[in-house]
Amino acid sequence: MSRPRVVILGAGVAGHTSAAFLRKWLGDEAEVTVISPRPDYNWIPSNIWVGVGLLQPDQVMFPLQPIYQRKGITFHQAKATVLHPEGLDEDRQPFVEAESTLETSPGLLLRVPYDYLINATGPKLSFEATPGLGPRGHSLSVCTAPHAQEASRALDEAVARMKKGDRQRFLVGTGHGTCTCQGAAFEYLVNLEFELRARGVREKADITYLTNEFELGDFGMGGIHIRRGGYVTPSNIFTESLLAERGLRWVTQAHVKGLEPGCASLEFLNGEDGEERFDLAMLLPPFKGVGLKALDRQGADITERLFAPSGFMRVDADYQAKPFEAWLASDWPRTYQSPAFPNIFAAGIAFAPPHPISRPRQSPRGTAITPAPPRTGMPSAMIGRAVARSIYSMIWGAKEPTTTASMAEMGAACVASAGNNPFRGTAASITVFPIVPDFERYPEFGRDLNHTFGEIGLAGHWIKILLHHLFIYKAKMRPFWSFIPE
Amino acid sequence: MTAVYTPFDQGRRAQGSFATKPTDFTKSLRTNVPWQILRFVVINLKMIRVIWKSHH
Repeated sequence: MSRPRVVILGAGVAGHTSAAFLRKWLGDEAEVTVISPRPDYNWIPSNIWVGVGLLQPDQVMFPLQPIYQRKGITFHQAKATVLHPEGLDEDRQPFVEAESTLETSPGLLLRVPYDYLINATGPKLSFEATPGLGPRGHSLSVCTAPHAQEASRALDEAVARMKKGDRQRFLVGTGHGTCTCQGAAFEYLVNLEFELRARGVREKADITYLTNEFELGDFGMGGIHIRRGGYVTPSNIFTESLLAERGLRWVTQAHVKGLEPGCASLEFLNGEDGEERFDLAMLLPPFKGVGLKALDRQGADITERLFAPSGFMRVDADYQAKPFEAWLASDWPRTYQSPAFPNIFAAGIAFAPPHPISRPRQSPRGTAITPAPPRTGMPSAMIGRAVARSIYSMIWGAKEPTTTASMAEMGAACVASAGNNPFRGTAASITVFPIVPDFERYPEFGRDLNHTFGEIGLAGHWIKILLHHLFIYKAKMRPFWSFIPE
Repeated sequence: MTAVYTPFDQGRRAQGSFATKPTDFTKSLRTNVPWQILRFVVINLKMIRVIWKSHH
C-alpha cells in the first residue's frame, strides 16, 4: 500500500506549522507536500519594522525549498486553483490542480493527488474592494515584505521633504469598512511616529489614524477589559491614551469609499461623507478567500459546498445567521474539518469564521462598517498544529479529528511594537483569554480577567525582539524547534 | 443584528482632551532598565501561563 499523502495549500504560519509537525510526527510514514505560490516564508509580524526602514525584507523572509528539502517535504511553487475532492469518474483519487508560479515554467498545470488536504492559503489581499487602494493605486501597505519595503522608501522620501521644511500628512489605518488586522495598522502608526521622532522631523508631521472600529481599542475583538489601578478598564481608554500622549489624531467609524492621489473619500457610520488628505497613506486592505474552486467528479461546480461566499472554507462552525445577542462561543469551529469532505481541513485565515467578534454595524446607506475577526499568528499556528495532529491520528486509524483548537477556548499573547530601540523602544504586551469572548463562562466581560492583561514598556520591546528571532528559528526548523510554543 | 449609528463628534478640538495620560513617573518607568528587567520576567510568566492554558 502506498504511503498516505497529505497536501498543504499555503506556507504561511498555519500551513508551515502543519507541514513541520506532520513531518515530525509521521516520519516516513506519509508523504507531506506543500503548495505555495511564493518561494519564501515571511514572518509577517515583523513587516512593520521593514515598513519603517529598520529591517530589510531578507531579515523577515527566507526561502522554503532548502528547508523542505532538508526535512523531506515536497514543495511545489504553484498557486492552487481547483479542488477535485471526489477525483474524476475514471479515477476517484482526490487531487488539487495548481498553476506553477516558477519563472521557468509559469502557468504549468500540476495535478497533485491527496488523501488529506489542509487549506491554509491565508487571505487574498482585496485591494480592489476600494478603488485606488493599495500599492498599485494611491496608498501603501505592510501586508507583505515587498509592500513594506515600498512603504519604507516612501517614508524616506517624505522625511527628505520634511527636512527641507515641508509639512507632511500621514494617514494610517484601514482602507475599507470591513477590514481586520487593526493591530498591524496600529503598530505601524506608533512605529511611524517613533521613527519620525528618531529622525528629528516629528514636528513637521500630522499623523492620523483612520479606522473602521466603532471606538479605538476594538481591534476586531470587541475590545478587551483589563484590571488596572483598582478598576476594570476597557481597551479604548488605553488606546486613546497612547494616541493622545503621542499627539496623534484619530478618525473612527470610517469606511474608505475610494482613494485619489492625496485624498481618501470616506463614509461614516452616521451616513455622513468626509475626506482625509494625505501625503503618505498606509491603509490595509480587507481580506477575502483566495478564490479556490471545487468540482465534483463529473466536473460540476461544487464550490458553494466547500466555501462561504467570502471565499473562506466552511468548517465545523455554526454558520446559521443570528443576531449579535445570540452569538455563542460554541459557534466557533473546534476541529476545522470540512463538513462536506472529512479529509479536508482549513487552518489559519483560510477558514470561514461563523460571524465577526465585534458588534456588526452599518451606515444608514447599508455600508457595513465593522472590523472582521482577526486571526493572528498564535491562533493560526495553534490551529495548524491541531489540524496536523488530527490528520496524524486519522492516518493511524482514528475515525474523527482528535484535536481541537477553538478560538473561543484558547488565549493569545500579542506584542505590539510602539517603537524599536533597545533602550528607548516600547511595546504593548497583551494577553487575552479567550480570543473570542465567552459570555456564558465569563458573563460580565466575556474573558477571564486573570489571564487578560496589558502593559506597555521596554520589556515588551525586548520580548518582541526575542519572539522575532525565536519564531524565525522555529520556522527554519532548526534543532529543538518543536519545543518553542506556538 | 446590525445597529445603526447615532451622531457623534469627530471634531479635532474635542479629541484627546479627556484622554487618560501617563504621569512623568509612569513614563519614566516604561524605559527604566532595572524595572523593565523585572517586568520582562513577569510578562513572560503571564504569557507562558496563557500559552499553557491554551494548550491544555
